[in-house]
Amino acid sequence: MSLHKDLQELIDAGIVSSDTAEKIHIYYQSKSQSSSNRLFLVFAILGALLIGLGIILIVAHNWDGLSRNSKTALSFTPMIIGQIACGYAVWKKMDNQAWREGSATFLFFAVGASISLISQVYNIPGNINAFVISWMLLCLPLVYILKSSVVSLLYIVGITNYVVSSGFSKFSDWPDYYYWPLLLLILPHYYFLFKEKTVGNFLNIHHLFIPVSLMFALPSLAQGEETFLLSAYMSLFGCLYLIGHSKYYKPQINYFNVFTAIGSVGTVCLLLGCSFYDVWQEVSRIDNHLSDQLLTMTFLTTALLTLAAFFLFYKNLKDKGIKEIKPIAPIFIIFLLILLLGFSTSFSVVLINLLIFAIGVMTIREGALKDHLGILNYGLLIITSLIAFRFFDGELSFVWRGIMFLIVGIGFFLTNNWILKKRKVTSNE
Amino acid sequence: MNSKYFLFGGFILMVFAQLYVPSKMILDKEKTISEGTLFRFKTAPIDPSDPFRGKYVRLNFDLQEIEKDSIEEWDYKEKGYATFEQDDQGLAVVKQISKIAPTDTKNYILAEIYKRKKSGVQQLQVSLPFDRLYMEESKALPAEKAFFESRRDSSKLTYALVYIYEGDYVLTDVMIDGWSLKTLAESRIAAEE
Repeated sequence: MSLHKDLQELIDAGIVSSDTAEKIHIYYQSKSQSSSNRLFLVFAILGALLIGLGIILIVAHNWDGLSRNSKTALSFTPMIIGQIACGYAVWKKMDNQAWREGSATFLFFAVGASISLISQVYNIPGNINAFVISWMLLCLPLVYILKSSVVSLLYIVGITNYVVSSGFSKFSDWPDYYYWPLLLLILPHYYFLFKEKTVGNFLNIHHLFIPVSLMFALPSLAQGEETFLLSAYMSLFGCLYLIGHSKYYKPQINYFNVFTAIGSVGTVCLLLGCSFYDVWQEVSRIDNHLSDQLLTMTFLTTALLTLAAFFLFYKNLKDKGIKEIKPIAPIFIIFLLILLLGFSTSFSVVLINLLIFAIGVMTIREGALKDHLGILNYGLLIITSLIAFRFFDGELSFVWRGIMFLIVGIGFFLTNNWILKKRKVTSNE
Repeated sequence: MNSKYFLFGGFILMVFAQLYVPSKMILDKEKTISEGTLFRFKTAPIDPSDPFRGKYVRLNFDLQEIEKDSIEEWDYKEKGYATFEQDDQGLAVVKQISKIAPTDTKNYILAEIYKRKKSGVQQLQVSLPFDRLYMEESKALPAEKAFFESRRDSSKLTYALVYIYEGDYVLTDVMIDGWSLKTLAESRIAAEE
């Protein structure tokens, strides 16, 4: 109403023509419609999620008062309701995303509840993996038939839960490497999202879920000496970081690049984990039988990931030039060299600590140059974490540790204060 | 329009798969109950929980074993066929363990087999797979307490009722001295109220 009034005022004042006013009116009307559609979609998904989880919990109560026949009949009821809703969505409401996502999400949980209830009725034993895999595979078609991104995300959570709860065992009935073909089954949907929708929260959430799932699943490729896994993880984080910085990836939400964030935080956390002397003592132990490891699955995985990270690094270097390369980008190469050195000497632990310190300082510098408090404080946090970790090493005296904390604390205060003052001066000018 | 029919065809296939898997589970188990032989396995229950399927009573069975002349051909935790019979007390005991399914009886299950040498004697042991009895969430803990009370009286016998038929099995109840664990849990809850 107020927009209409304002537009009339602008027409009367001769600022906009009535044609332009009409276009503005239509534009805002369509915008408000799309935001109400999005809200309806969110409520439909949340509603279906809550109802589905509610059914699973009610089923988990195990109703002893019901006969075996009633329980088996009941086990099909939510599933059939979900199938009717999904059938209606396929037939009549394919253009309505709220219908598709809501009905698919409900059916996803209904299938889980149905298998659960039958397992209870007949006291079917077995670990949770057989149950999760049947559930995920029975619901996978929902991702492609109803184009349901919520089910796709739930599927990724399901298979990640599977690979973790398999205990990374290769010899059980449900070995951990089944995860990889299961992951391949969902990738076409990820590709469609990437191709079709340049703007959309579902694509962003997939950008987050898939790398996190890969992080959890990476040990399933380890067979043989697990020390190389450190380098495999570092190269994976390197790949993610470099994908985030490549020209092919544009973050959907302003100022938040999921790949860069996971790559950077993962790299720093792994380096911090490797900053302890004990880790390098373990690494130096395997020098004697290093040649035996060259054909193991762990080594091949590490080599492939490192080659992929090299390729992305080279592309970044070619596209953006050396000046635009961020301090985190080449860490996977430096780490690999330090790891190789670590097979013969424990001096690597000193190099890792220096590397973390250098990353912290360079990040602070980048934050100061860009006038970005977030980056600046991230750099300070890296250095603080490094000092805090050394605090637990217990080899430094209390006085030195105290002085280091004081220096970093004062550093936090001074640098933040300096940037805020600089901003004030710039805004006054 | 064609793609709509194609999608709907795919949807119908999915619906069939979703209905088929639970139906097959039900039919297989019902066949085991109706055509299988009922065995009583001596057991001891404890009470854990499953995030999706709720509270259950976990059953600890003594490993059932038989002596063998040679156990070298068996791998660690290899799957094998265990045939059962009843002893003098009416409790189930393993009669035979083999790598191929027996043809002379239907009273066998497929289970993990362990091998061990004890005082020079070579043995194969069956790890019984039916180790969960799902219970209403309020009854699982009282059921466990009822079991521990019954253990003080050594004359009381605790056993699981299991139907066995051609490799499949269905655990239907756990009994303490002829009383269902569920009934005992209910009476215990009623007594506490």
